[in-house]
Amino acid sequence: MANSLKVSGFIVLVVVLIAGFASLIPQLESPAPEELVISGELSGAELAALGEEVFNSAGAGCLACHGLGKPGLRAPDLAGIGAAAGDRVASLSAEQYLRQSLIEPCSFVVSGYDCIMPQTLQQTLGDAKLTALVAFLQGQGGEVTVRLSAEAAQASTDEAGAGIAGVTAAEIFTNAGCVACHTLPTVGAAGQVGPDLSEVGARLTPDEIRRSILFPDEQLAANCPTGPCLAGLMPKAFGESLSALQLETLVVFLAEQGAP
Amino acid sequence: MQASLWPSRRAFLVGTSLALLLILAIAHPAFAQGEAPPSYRDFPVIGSRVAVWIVAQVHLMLAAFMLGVPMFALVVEYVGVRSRERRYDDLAREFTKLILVAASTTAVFGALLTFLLFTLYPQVMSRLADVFLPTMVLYPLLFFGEVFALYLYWYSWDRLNTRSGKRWHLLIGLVLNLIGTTLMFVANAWLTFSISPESGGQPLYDQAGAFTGTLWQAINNATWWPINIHRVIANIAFGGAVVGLYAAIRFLNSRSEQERAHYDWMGYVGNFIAVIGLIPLPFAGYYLGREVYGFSQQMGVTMMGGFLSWLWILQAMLIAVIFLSANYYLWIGMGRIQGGERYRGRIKWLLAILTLGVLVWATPHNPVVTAEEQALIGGAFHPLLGVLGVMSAKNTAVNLMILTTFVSFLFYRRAGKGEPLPFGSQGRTAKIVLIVVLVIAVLLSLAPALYVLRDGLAETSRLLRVGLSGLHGLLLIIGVILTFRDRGKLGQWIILGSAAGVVLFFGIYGYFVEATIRIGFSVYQVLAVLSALISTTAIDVFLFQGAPSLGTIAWGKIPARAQYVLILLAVGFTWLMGLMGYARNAIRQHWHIYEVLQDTSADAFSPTLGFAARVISVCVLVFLGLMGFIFWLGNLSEKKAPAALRPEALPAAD
Repeated sequence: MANSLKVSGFIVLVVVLIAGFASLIPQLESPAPEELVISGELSGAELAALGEEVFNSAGAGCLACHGLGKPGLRAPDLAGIGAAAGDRVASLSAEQYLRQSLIEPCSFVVSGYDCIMPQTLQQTLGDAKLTALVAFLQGQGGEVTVRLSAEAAQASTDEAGAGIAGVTAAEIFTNAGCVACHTLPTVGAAGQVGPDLSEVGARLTPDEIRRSILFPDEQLAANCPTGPCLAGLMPKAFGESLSALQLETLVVFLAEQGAP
Repeated sequence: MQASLWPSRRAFLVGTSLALLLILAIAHPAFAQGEAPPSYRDFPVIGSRVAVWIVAQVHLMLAAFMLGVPMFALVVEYVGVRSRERRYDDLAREFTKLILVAASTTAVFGALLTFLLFTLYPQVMSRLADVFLPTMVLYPLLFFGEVFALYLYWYSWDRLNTRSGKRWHLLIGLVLNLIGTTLMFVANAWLTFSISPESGGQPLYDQAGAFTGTLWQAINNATWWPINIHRVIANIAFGGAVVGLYAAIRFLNSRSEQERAHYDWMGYVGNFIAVIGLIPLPFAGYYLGREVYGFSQQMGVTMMGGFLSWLWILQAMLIAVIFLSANYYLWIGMGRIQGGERYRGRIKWLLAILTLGVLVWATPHNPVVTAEEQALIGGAFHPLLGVLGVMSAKNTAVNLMILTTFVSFLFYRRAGKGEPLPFGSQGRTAKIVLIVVLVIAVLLSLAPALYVLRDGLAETSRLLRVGLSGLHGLLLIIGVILTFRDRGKLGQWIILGSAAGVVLFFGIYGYFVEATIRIGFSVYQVLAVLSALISTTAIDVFLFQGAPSLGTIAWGKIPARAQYVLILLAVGFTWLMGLMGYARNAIRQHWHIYEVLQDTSADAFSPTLGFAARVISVCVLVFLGLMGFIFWLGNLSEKKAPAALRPEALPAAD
C-alpha cells in the first residue's frame, strides 16, 4: 500500500512538473477570425477600445515595428500621434491624415525612417477594423472624432473575413499589395521598395519563391532599388493572409517570370 | 491460468452497444434530408470541446495500449517459441490478460466519444458521415473482429500449447494485430481527412464546398500514411513503456526474491521494446512534418513557426526525459551484471552527448516573440543560440542521441560477456546473414547518392553527397570484413564512427548551402544512422553468440530508483502522446475540416499551451488511474507465484 501511494505521488509530481513547465513558457492563443458585430453606432471611446485590440493583434502587426511610449524597432513611436495628426498636413484633418497613413503609408514618411510599412492593411483588416484603428490612434493625445455606423461595419465584415481577395495570380499579386513595393511589368507594378521580380523565375526555384513569401527575411535579396534588401522590409503575415491555394498560384506565377 | 469471463462479456456488450450507437447516430433524424441539425450543442461546466478532448484522448491512450500490447505479446510469444523459454510465453500471456480487461474500458470510452461527437457536433459529424459512411459501418465490424480474435487468442492458449498448435496460436495473434492495426488505420482516415482534405495533390472539395473526391481518395489523403506509420511505431514504443510501468509497480510491491527477479526482467524487456520503438520515431515525425508542409505551407508555418512554436520546446523536454530515462535505466541495469563495471567510466561521455543533444534540440529558432523580446535579442533570432535552432543542428542532435542510445544498449548487451569467439566458429548461417545485412545496409546508405548521381556531379554539394555516402558504404564493408577477420568490435566502432561523421558533416555543411539543398541532407544523416544500426546489431548478435559469460545477471538486484525511471518513462510517453494529440488538432486552428468547414463555435480559438497542458495532465492522470485499476483487476485472479524461471520448456513451432 505504501509503495502504491509512493508511486501515485511520484506520477502526480511528474505530471504537475510537466504542466508547470508548460505554463511557464510563453502563452500564445490563436484566435479564430473575428467577426466585427456591431449593433448600433459605436461611441468614439468604444471604437478606440476596439482599435486598441486591433493594434495589439498579430494580424495587424503594428507592434512589430512601431512603439507606443517608446521607440519602435523600425518605425516611429506613436504616442501623441492623435494630437499631432491634425497639424501634419494643412489640408487634412487628423482623421483623414491617420486614415491615409494607414492605407497609403508612403504618402507621409516621418523624417529619419524609410517607407517599409505594408500597404495591405485595408485588404487584410477591412474598413471597420481600419476605422477602429484610426480611432485608437486619434485617441493617443487627441480627441476621438471618428464614428462608425452599424451598416458600414456590417458591410465591411464579410470583406475582412474573406482575407485577400483574388483567384488569378495577377489579382492576388495586386490585392495582396505586392504591387506597392515590387516591379513586375506583366501586372503593371512599378514599386521601388523591394526587388524587381521581372526575372525572379530565373533566379529562384519555386520552393525558394515560396519561402521568400512566407519567410521574407530568411534569404535577403541583394537587388532592392536602393541596394541590398533590408531585413524586416517585407511583411511576414502572408502565410496567414493568403490561402494555401492563393499562395501556390502566386508561386507558380512568379516562377514563370523570366524562367528559361 | 484462465481469467474470469466477465471482462470479456462486458467488452462484447460494450462493443455491441458501440456499434448500435454508431448506427443509431448515423441514422439520427439530424441526418435526414431537409432537417438541419443545430451546429453545436453545449456540454455543461467544462464545455463541449474539453469534454470531447478528454474523452477522445483517454480513448486514444487506451486504444494505443490495446494495439501496442498485443504487438508486444506476439513478439514475446514468438521469442519464447524460438528460444523455448517458458518465461516469455508467460509474459505474453500475462499481458494478454490485461488487454482483455482493458478492452471493455476502451470500448466504453469509444462509445462515449461517439455519443459526444454525434450529439455535440452534429453538423461536423454529418459532413464526415457524408464522406466516410461505409467506413463508419466497417469500423464496428472490425471492432468485433478484433474482440473475437482477442478471445480466440486468449482462450486457445492452453489448447494450442503443442508443437504444431503453437504455430496456429501465433497466427491468431498475428490476425489480432492485423485487425487492430486496420481498425486504427480506418479511424486515422477520419482524423487525417479533417487535417488534409487533399489526395495526390488534388483538393477533395470544390470552391462551393462540395465533396468531389472518392471514398478512397478521402481515406488516402495527404497525411494518412505518415500518421499511420507514426502511430504504429509510437504504439510499439508505448506498449513497451506500459509494460515497463506494470513491471515497475509489481517489482516495488514484490514480496519475494523470485517475484522481484521476474518483474525486473519484465521491466528490462519493456524498456528494450520502448527503445526499439523510440529510435525510428523521430524519423517518422519528420516524414509527417514534411507531408504537412507539402499539403499546406501555411499549415506548416503555423505548426513550426506560428503560435505552436513553443510546443516543440515542451516536446523536446519530454523527449529528453524519455531518452535520458531509457539510457539511465540501462546504465543502472549494468550494475546487476557481473562485468558491467567495465563500462561505468564511459557513461559520463554518453551522458555528455545526450545532454548536449537535448540542449540543441530544445533551442528555439524563430519562436513567436513580443516586440520587447525582439528588441532585447536584437532580431527575430537570438544572435548566438538562433544558429542552434535550425533543422541542421536539430537533425544532427537527434541522430547523435540515437547513436548514443544504441551505444548504451551495446554496452548493456556485452556487459556480462567476455571476449567473442572467433567468427569462423559461428557457422555458415552467420556469414550469409551478415553478408545479406551488409548488402541491405550499403544499399540504404547509397540509395540517395545514386539518385543524385543520375543528375551529374557538377556541383560541389552533389560531389560531397555522393562521395560521403560512398565512403560510408566502404566503411560498412570494411567493418564487416574486420568481423570476418575476428576484429568485429573494431569493425563496429568504425561503422558507428562513420555514421557519426556523416551526421556531423552534413549538420555543419548545412549552414553553407541553400535551404533547398540543406533539407535533403537529413536523408543522408538518417540513412547513415539506420545502416549503421542494422549492420552493427547484426555483427553484435554473431560476435557475442556463445561468448564466455562473466557471470549471471542478478535479476531483481536493481535499485528501486530504476523502477521509478521506468515509471517516469511511461508517464513521459503518455504525456507526449497527449501533447501530440493537441498539436495534431491545433494545426487545423479554426477549421473542423481544413479550409472547408469552419469552426464557428465559441471554442473556435486554439487555446494556450498552458491550458492544453492542464487538459493533457487530466487525461494522463485519468489514463494512468485506469491502468492502475486494470493492473489491479488483472491480478485479482492470480493465485500462484509468477512463472518466471520455471524450468519447463515450450514446445517449438514447426
